[in-house]
Amino acid sequence: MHGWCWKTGLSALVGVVSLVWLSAPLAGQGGAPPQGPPPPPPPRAAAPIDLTGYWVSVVTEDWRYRMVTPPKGDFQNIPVNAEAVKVANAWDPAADEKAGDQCKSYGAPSIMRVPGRLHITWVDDNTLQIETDAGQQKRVFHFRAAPAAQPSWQGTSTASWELPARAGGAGGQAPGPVPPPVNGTLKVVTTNLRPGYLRKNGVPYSEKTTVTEHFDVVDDMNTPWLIVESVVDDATYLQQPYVRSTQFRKEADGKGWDPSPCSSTW
Amino acid sequence: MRIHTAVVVALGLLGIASAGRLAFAQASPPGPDLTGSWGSINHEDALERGQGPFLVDYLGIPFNEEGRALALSTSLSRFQTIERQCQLWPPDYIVIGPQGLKIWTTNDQVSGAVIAYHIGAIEDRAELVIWMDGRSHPSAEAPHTRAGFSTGQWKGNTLIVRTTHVKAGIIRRNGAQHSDEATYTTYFTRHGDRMTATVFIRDPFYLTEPLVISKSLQLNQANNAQSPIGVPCVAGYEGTSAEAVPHYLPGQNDALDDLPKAYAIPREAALGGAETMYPEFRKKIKDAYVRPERCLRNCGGPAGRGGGPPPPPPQGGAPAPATPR
Repeated sequence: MHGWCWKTGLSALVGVVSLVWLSAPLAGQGGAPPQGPPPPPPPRAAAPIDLTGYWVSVVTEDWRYRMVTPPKGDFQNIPVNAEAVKVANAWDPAADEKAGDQCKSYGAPSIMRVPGRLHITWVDDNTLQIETDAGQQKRVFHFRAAPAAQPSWQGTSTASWELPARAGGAGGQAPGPVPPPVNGTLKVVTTNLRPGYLRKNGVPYSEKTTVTEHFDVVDDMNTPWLIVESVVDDATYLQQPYVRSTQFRKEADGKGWDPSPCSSTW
Repeated sequence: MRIHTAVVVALGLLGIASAGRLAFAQASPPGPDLTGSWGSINHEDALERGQGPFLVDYLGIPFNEEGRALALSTSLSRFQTIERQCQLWPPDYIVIGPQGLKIWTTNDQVSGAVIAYHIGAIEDRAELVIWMDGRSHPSAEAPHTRAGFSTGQWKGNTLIVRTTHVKAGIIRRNGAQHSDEATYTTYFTRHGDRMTATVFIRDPFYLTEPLVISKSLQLNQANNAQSPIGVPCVAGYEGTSAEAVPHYLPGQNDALDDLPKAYAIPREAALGGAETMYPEFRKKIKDAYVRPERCLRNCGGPAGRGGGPPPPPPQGGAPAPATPR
C-alpha cells in the first residue's frame, strides 16, 4: 500500500509540473491583477548603438564635389528639375558672403557630406547633439517634442530609435524578460529649414525640404564606423528624393578637431 | 505501470511544445527580408558608375606605391583582349557598378531556415552566394574565383558578409585594382524600402587602409525587376590583336593629366593615397585648386546632358570630347 501511494503521488507531481509549465503564459489570469509594463527607459539608456565620440569623414565617393568646390552648373548626381537649374546658374558666392549667407552649404541636407569631424554627445537623456568642426555647426536631435523655433540652417530634428524585429518574428516571442537589442538605428527627420545648397556650387534646396536620415554603426575589425543614409525630399527643386550614404570612422579622441568657419567658396 | 504512463505523457507534452517553438524560431530570419529586386540609386559617383571614371582617377583610394604603379601601368585595352573580355568583375562591382541587385535565398527544406543568400549575376559579374549555415571558409590554398567565397551573419538589422578567395580585380572602373589576397566585408542594412550596401576592401599588397565604398538601393519589384542572371558573355574581336599586351611602361601613361585638365584637381590628388580621403587634405590642395568658372562636361541636369547654358566655343582646335576616354 505504501508503494501504491508513492507511485500515485509521483504521477500526480509529474502531471502538475507539466501543466504548470505549459500554462506559464497564462499565469496571472486567474490570480492577482496583472501589473502594467514598466515605463520605457529614456532614449539615452535605451540606445542600442553608441554614437558618441569623435568621427572623421572618409571621402571615397563624390570626391570632386566634397573635397573641392565644383564649378557652377555641375549638377551631376543630383536629380534636379529645371527650376533648380535656373537658381543654380545664378549662384554668386560673393553675394552670399556679403549677405552673411556663407553657411548655405552647411545646412542639415548637406552638412554630413562636408569633409570634417563630428563630435556626438548627449545633452541630456532625451537630446543628442552633433557638432561639426567644418562650418562649426550644431545639430540637435530631440527624442521628445522639440521646442518651437525659427527656421535655421540645421532646422528642427526629431529622433527615434529603430530596433530590429526580435528573432522568431511576430507571434514567436518566447516568455521571460526581453533581451536587450543587439543592434539598432537612429532615425532622424529634419524640417523647418532655411533655404540652402545641396552642393557648394549653389544647387538649391527650399524651405519645404525634409531630410530623413538613418545612422548605423558597424564594427569593422574592432573599429566602429558610422554609416549615414540621407534622403532629401524637396518637391520644389528635385524630381525625386536625393539619396546618399556617407561614412565616418571613429577616432580615439578629439586631437584632429579643427574648427573652421563657413565659406561660400571653399 | 501508472508512473510509467504519467511520465511518458508528461514528457511527450514537453517535447511537443519545445519542438513547436524551435521550428518557428528557425524558420523566421533573424534580420529584415533582403530578397527581391533592388534598383541602384546612382546619386553618388554617377559618372564613375555610368560612363566610367577618368583613366587616372584614384581620388580617395588608399593606394601604396605598388598599387599606384600597377594602376598606372594598366591600359583598359587589356580588357578587350579575347582572354579577358569575359573575365568578370569582382564582388565589389555590386557597389561600384551601375546595376541593381536581385537577391533570393536557398532554404532548408525541413526547417525553412535560410542556408544561403544569392545575389544574382549580371553580364559581367558572377553570382554571389552568401552561406548562412556557419560553414568555414576554405583553406588559404583553395582556388580563388571571381565571386570568391562568402559567409554571412546577422547583427540586428545588418547582414555582415565576409568574402575571401577572390581573384585579382578592379576597385574602380579604370586601372585601379586589388590583388588576389584582398578580402571584403560587406554590410547590407535595410531601412524601409531602401538598402545601403557598404563594402570594406582590404588588400595587404596595394592598399594601406581599407577602401570603403557604399551604395544605396531601392526595392522596386514591380517596375525594376532585376534578372538573376546576366547576358552570356561572348568574346569577339574588339580591335586588340591576339599578340598585343596593352599596357603603359613606367612614366608613359599619357592620361595622367586628363582629370586635372577637366576639373582643375591637382595631379597629386588624382594619384590617390590614403591622405586624399581625409579632411586635412583640403588644406594641402587649397592653394593649388582654382575652381573652373563653369561646368563644361558631364554636368548632369534634368535631361542628363548638362543643365547650364551652352559653354563658349573653344579657342581654336578640336572641341573637347564629351566623355572621358
